[in-house]
Amino acid sequence: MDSVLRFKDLSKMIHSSDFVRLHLSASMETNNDLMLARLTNKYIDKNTGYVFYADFYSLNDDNDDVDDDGASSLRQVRPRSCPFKHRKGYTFPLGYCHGMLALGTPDQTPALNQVSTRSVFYHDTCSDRYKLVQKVVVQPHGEGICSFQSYNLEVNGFTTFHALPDDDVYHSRRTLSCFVNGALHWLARRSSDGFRSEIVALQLEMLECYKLPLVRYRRNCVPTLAVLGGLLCATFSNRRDSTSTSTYDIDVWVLKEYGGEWTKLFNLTSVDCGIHRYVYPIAYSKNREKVLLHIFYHSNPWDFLWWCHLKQEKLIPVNIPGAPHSFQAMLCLPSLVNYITMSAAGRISIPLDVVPDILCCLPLKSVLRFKAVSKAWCSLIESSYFSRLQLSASMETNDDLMLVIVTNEYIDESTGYVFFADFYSLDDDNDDDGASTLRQVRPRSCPFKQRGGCLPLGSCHGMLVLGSRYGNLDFWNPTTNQCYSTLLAPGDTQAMMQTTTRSVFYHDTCSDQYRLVQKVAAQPHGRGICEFQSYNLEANGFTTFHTLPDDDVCHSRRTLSCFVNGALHWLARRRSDGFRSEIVALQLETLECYKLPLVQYRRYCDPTLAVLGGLLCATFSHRRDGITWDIGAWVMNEYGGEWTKLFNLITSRADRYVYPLAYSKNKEKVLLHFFNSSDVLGWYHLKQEKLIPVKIPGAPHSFQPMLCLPTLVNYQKL
Amino acid sequence: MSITTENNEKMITLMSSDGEEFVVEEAVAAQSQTIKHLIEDGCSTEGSIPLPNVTGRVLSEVIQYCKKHSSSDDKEEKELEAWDAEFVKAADDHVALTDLMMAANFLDIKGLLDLVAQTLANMITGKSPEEVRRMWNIKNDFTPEEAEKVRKENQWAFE
Repeated sequence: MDSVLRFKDLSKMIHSSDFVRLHLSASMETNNDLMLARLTNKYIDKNTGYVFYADFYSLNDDNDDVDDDGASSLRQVRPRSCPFKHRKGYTFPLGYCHGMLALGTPDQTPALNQVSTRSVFYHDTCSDRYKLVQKVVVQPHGEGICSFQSYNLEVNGFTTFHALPDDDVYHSRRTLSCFVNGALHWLARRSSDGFRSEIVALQLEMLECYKLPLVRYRRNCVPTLAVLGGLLCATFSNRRDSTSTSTYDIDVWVLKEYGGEWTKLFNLTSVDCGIHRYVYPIAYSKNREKVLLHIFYHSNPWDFLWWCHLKQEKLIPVNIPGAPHSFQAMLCLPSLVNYITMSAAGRISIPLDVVPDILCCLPLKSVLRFKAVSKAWCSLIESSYFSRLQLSASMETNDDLMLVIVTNEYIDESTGYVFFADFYSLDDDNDDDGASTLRQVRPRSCPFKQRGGCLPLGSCHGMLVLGSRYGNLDFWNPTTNQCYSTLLAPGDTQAMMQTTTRSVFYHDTCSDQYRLVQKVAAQPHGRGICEFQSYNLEANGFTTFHTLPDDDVCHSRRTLSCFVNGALHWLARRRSDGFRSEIVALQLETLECYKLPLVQYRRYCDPTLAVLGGLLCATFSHRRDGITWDIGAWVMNEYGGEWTKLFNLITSRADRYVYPLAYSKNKEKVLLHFFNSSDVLGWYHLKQEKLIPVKIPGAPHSFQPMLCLPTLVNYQKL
Repeated sequence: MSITTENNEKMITLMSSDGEEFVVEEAVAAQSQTIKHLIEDGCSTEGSIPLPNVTGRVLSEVIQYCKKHSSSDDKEEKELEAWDAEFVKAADDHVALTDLMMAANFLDIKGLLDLVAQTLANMITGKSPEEVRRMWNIKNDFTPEEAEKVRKENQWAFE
């Protein structure tokens, strides 16, 4: 083993799982390298507490120069190991298998802590996985139940897979659980059987529970059960008589054929090994002439090892220089096995072509985090293929739609205004005492620290477009934090920032491109002309593609341009029609201009026009009397068809405009934006027909709400 | 080899990578676009259809799914949803689910692929990149500097 590790540099082959298996099966065949691991917890001081040490000894017998006192010593084959230096508390051995030791610190885990818990760590040959299984007494003492639990790597916890009546004798030490022939064995004793001990076994795959006969040796002497050289082994230690203080008869029996007859391995009569509690055989020496026994005493030294020479029929004390008086002994066959990579979990790999299907089902926060998994995952997530796939998946559910509250905050004279964006979920599960608080789903973002305020121009597919009076134009995806920024010429800047300019940012499905379009009143106020301009990435400027007479009511807020069905919509009012409002639409591909009927609600009341859940929505806010207002919202369920009333509410709020923004996730409520001298949000509950005020902690008096469906889309790439 | 049952259902035989044979109704198997195309190309007329990428254990699960989903056109959607939930729960861990996912991908069964993808996604959604690597034995091929860069760029996703 040492040599193998020394040659590790030569090739990666040594850590390949094929080699690990080959090496394991070769060393299991000879069993030559079997080591004794002596585990101790040494108390250092109050600060450090206990520190866990492991010492490794060979089971060779060529070096037991039995000294003058007739004692043997064990040869240390590895330097002392202290794997968990910085961990406080006691470390328990739970089991061992193929050169791995399973250890636990019981402080936080009550089941581990329980003294009656027995654990076993074994290799399940059917599934070719390593399993840590424990038997936990659920109701200790009395007629309780014990549950069998196995450690599950994925959930990082124990899951119960079986339960049985609790009948354990509790003699066996926890590290010495007897795993033989695919089954866990323990000594049980039931009142129904006159408290006679018997061996109960649970086959861990089939969960079949059965009994094995116990060798009938001495009626009132309970043996210990152990595994010696792969066979079940029952050890009786019987004090000869109560007067002769420390003379014992020790008899060891093995079950050579599983389920067959017990064979006597050896018996020692009248040996003096001190008054003790239990005797456990651990292992044969390499030449199989001796058996190592672990004897537990009632007092210091608590633990002591003895060799029993099978031919000479005598006990040889084993001196371990510097050994503490209390320790635990385990066996370890050195191997290269790694729990993670050798559990099936470590061997399974996932082909990259199914990864997008899984990632599509995840929230984007997880997707972005998994860019750190590997380079292949990172480039997959950054690919436009994946961003399209993710986009269509999230548009289908629309579950992640966020409200973005955009503000420009005045910092100080030298800094001026700074642009901030806050992100809120449209969940509705967080109402309390009549008011609702929006839940922030991301940390506040401040993408343009060094620059004055920004005006939101539109949003589409998770991207926000922002402009500033200094000519900055930014296509910002707050999810990926990618931003395409440019600086416009002064003429374009002026047109873009004009208060009568309305802009829309949309995805043109024909060309599969994102377009920023604006409607600019060329001669504002009066009977002017309005130009339709679109931003051109190559020329970095706006180009006019259509003109119309200017007839806008100019009521609508600029961020709420109504893009539905491939067309831009606005409210217009012409003298020729007696100044009655109507909806004018410009189809942006064919440049066809047409009118849509407006719902006839109240003759002298102009509605606001918005898009709610993909449909045109007209909202009337009408003063009923001195104190109450009447707000009515209508949606056009079928484009070009009839208007349907969504709701009607009476409120004492006096606001200039009311804009519906979005439905709540469960569609039971509509988020409304009221604005007059300040901006206020409210939920309108469609069933309960009431208005619920929305609190946004820390929100300023003036803000702009936008919607954003998180995506990975990058303006430049598409 | 195609045989016909009493109900006039055409049966076909599928053979897994480890040589196990499964006789199923053609309508059940044809939920797999891959098998459907193989049948259309006449691969089912002589002997069994070999599926070299799918083991018998996984194939029997896939057939179980296809049977349920072909026989329950008129059944309540809710009942089917509950059955699906039990079905993936029985798959027990991500190893079995990954096997199933690969089979659904190879056999091109959209419903099963979506179901398993969603289940695996639920499993990993709160996990760290390190835990995901460990699940599927993915090698971390970032240098510490590159890893730090990815982390910094997507800081909010790691909080």
